[in-house]
Amino acid sequence: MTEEELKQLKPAVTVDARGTYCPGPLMELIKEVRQQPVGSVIELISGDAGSAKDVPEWLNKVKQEFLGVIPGDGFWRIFAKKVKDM
Amino acid sequence: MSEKLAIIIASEEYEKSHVASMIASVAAVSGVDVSIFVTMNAVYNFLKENVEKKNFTGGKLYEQIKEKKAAMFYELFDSAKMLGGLKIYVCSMVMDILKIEKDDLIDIVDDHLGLAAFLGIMEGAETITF
Repeated sequence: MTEEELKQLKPAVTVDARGTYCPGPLMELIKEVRQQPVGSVIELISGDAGSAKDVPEWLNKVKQEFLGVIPGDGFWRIFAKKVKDM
Repeated sequence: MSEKLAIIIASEEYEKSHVASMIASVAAVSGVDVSIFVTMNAVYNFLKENVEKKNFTGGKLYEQIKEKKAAMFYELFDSAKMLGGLKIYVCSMVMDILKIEKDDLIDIVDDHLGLAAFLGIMEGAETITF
């Protein structure tokens, strides 16, 4: 998805994990992926540079959908979609 | 990567327990079956007494982890246990030598095991040692 398309998304939940260190942001995302119903868009805000690379890798591994990332000033907005139960 | 991961922590160095907990957490939430074997001096890091007092042997990064108030290794293990398949075993021999009971160990420890049992767990698993 393009940045413009990502900005139009209405996430079911936004997790602000700024202030936690690797693998904190990923773990916060996972909690939400578990809890939200299938079809939900989840936004993760991370201040950890690794997350922008780590999260897509994890989503791919567990077969959930990575929608994209918007880089901010010292943080990253990462969008994921829950496509199956886990 | 194999779907089974075994991690042996033998050193008391704080950073080693920390990196073990990071790898274990991400693996556990990625569907990997993770088993941790805590042995030798690493057992001191899993004693309630030392965890309560944050009495750990660490280097420069440990000082930074404390200063930045990053999650400690036992907190990472704890959240991994809630979200994925992770078991923590402490070496029976060390418990014998130090005369410690399961109650002396922090609650995230599942059980104590001998080497034959842990070798059984390691069979077919990717193994990392710290």
